[in-house]
Amino acid sequence: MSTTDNDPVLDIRDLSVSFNTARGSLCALRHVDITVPQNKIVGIVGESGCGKSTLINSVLRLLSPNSEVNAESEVIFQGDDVMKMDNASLQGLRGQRISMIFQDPMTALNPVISIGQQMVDVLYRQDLNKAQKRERAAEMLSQVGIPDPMRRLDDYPHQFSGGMRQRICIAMALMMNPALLIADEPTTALDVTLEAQIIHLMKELREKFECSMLFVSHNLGLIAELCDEVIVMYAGEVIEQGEVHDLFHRAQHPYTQMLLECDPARIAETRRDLPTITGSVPDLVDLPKGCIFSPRCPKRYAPCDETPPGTYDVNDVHSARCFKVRDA
Amino acid sequence: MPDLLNADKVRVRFRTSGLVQTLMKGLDDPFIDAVMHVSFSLQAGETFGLVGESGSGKTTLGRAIIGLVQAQEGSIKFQGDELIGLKDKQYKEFRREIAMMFQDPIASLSPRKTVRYSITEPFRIHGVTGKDLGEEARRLLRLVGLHEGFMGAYPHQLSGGQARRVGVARALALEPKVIIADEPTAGLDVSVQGEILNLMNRLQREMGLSYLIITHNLPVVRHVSDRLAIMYLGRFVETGTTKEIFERPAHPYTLGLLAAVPEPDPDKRRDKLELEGEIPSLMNRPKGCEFHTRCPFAQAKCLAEAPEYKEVSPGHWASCHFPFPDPADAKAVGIRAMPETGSAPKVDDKALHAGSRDRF
Amino acid sequence: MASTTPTDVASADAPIKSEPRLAWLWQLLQNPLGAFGLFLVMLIVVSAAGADFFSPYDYKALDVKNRLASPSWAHLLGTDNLGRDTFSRILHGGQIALYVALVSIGSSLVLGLGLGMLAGYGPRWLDNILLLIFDSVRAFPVIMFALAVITVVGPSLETIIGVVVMTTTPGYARIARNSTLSLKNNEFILAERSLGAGSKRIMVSHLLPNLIAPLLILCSMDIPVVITIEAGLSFLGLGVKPPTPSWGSILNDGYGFIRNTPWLVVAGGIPLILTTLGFTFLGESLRDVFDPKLKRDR
Repeated sequence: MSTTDNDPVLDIRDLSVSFNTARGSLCALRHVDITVPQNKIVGIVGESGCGKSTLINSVLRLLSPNSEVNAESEVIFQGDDVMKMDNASLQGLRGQRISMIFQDPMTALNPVISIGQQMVDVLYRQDLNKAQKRERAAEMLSQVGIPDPMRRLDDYPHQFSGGMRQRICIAMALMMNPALLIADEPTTALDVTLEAQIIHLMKELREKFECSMLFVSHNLGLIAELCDEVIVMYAGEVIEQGEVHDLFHRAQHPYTQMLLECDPARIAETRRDLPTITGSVPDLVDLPKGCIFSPRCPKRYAPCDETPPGTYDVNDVHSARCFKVRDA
Repeated sequence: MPDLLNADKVRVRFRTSGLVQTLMKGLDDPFIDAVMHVSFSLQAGETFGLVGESGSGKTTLGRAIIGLVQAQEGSIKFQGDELIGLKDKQYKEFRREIAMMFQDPIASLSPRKTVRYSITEPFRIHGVTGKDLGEEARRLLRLVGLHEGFMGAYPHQLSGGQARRVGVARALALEPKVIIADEPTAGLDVSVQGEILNLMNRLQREMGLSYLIITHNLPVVRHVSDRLAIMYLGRFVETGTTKEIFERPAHPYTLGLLAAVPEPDPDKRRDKLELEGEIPSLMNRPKGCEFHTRCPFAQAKCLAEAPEYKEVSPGHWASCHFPFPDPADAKAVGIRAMPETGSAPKVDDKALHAGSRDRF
Repeated sequence: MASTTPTDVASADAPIKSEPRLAWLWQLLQNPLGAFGLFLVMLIVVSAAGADFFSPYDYKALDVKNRLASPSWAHLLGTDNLGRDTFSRILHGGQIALYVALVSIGSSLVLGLGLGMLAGYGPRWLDNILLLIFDSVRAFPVIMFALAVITVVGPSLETIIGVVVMTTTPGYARIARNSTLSLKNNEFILAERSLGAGSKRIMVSHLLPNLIAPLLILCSMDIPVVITIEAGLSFLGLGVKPPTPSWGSILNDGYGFIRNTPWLVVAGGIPLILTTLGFTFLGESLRDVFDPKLKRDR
């Protein structure tokens, strides 16, 4: 671990991942560059097929066997390239320095082992005896708002409600004080009032635990609520990224603009005919020649179908992958 | 004008333990009430939203209307005819008039049958002869904006949005008067949610359909429904026009729900009125007002006595001892009423904690 | 900015990836065991079906002068103790074997499916009664039961078929019942009910096609078992009556004359081995083909 205070916790450079399928090579991620600074929450927003799951699986190297990571891709976590690590180092990384919370709290926990035992297992690397580990587990449970934690350590996942299970998962993720917490749609399976509680909890815990977070969601409201920086993905590419206020108020890429317009929570007057984005996500096996969004873009012009755009700066905290920014 | 659909004090109970277990455990009531004394009406051409979280009973109510679950008490009348208590055979003719769209669109299609088969199933079931089913299938596909190539497709080959359209097509086959849509936008990306909603809207205009939309998605229901009911633990806690409920919510749960919806604007982050705690189990309904365990404004009366469901302003009903008052009075407790933009009311935390025990 | 036009025309022009017909067959053939199994099964079925056509001799024809002959061009597998051509007898034995297997397993399948679906979809009390019946019958050990029945009723193919049906039906019924129970609450069944579909339509058109695949695979694996049961009973003299050839009776004859010629035993044994291998490989490969496909939902 060779970092200084200003170095980012995670620095993904030129990440390209493809999958070998029966129909050919599916380019799931193309030239993704992402930086997660220390103590910041970075949100990744995108719709189905944008590659956000592939992205976070790449960070922990949990990709399926038919995947191929481009040789030039680098995923630098606290100074070390995850892509070049051996299995032993990866084990050391997962659960300890990088933790993950998944979407479905119902299936993320082992149903036949008590939650206390599962939490104690996470601490296997710590040099503590069993009683001390249980105390640490109970302490974490109270931090995430589970009442009567010592007694509940012996309960099984099915004895908790969905919201509580997600809190337990958060507790497990934070127990080893990771430098990076990855949350993959952690509230999608929860009711809206529970969702609000979990988000509130995550804000509090971020303060206490001083970790960075990579928060993946398709919900623009949550991203606006929680994140410091936002990355917008479309069909395997990062098409816009920036500081949250700048991105939401001065979105540059037409996809981002249209996404914001389509969100019913953002539409001020009630209207019966809601806006949509026509067309569909392109086939990732057979990529178009120019900009990936061009076929659906209402603002496309001459260069868009010819070559893919590069990433151009809107200002020093905001960039977009659109020729309009370059030519502005 | 007579109501198209009229529900009166509907109650749906489910058994949780069998006879032997009840005796062994000494339970005095082995039932849970999934839907408790619900009354509402639906007019022709109208869209009514049933809004609630898990355990609210909204899906059960929808299923009771279409006869997939039995209601034990109350009445559900379709154009004056009573539906509760009918056997399956008697129900059949009403299933031409009331159709349902299910939450998981791909799972609601028979996996080994083509789209053509599934869409034309209503014709076969109801013995409609003398129609060219292939032609009908094509007509229905066109109606929902899918091209003919989908006729031979199987459910697992469809995307979520396409499968939903097939679900709509099937629901429309016999030209029903009411469609119950269970979470019509669940699982759909925001950029395509509009497609299905706009389709439903167009069909409503063209065919004079009524919709009962079951959802937990407040931003969506705000745009598509005329009237709403908010459900909690199987009861209606608030009913009224959509506009009224969003602008002048009366029940604290409604306020909590509205406040919990995150707004896609980083400048509008706030210390929200959070509803703490979880939804109580249906097996252990709280005494008094069932919402008091989570209500930030609960007072002694709320723990002791269940509130009446009463009209707080014309056409606007709520079940609360201390419903939120007019916007004018709201300022007194630091609640800024909603501006025209349609966002949730903001609650001033300081005033909240200072005056919460004696609100007025 | 009017960049998004309100529209409800489906972005549904995405092409449907059409699957080739009989995709499962191609997948099966790509698996070497599956292809081999299919080949063996086809071999056995064709030879049995065309036994009359392929047999060089009448299987009953005696030629005592040539008894216990070794294989030659005249008699491909030699002759048995009465001079009958073994090859012809093997082919007809295949007919017997497949007849018993297909009739008994076929009947079990139909009965098991019917009863199982009834138990799963019908009222609780019916389910309880049927389960009681199934489990009681399954408690009988097959061979013992067969021997007991045959002692009482006398040996014949029909008896064997009857015994096999009685003992295999409950197994299939239980599987059909369990699948029905789990499918019963799936959304597509609810959707059909909401359309007004009656129980019969639901069971036949919607439940049946989704239940049948695992059962068919099981049947494929049970066929060699039944054939072996028949052969075993015939070996003991409790199966077919002479002169009807059964692989088991050929084995029995060969066993008695093994010092004179080994070929009868070989001739009786090899078809049994090939049949078992063929159907088992086929069944296993079919299971592989159908399993991942079922998981290939969106």
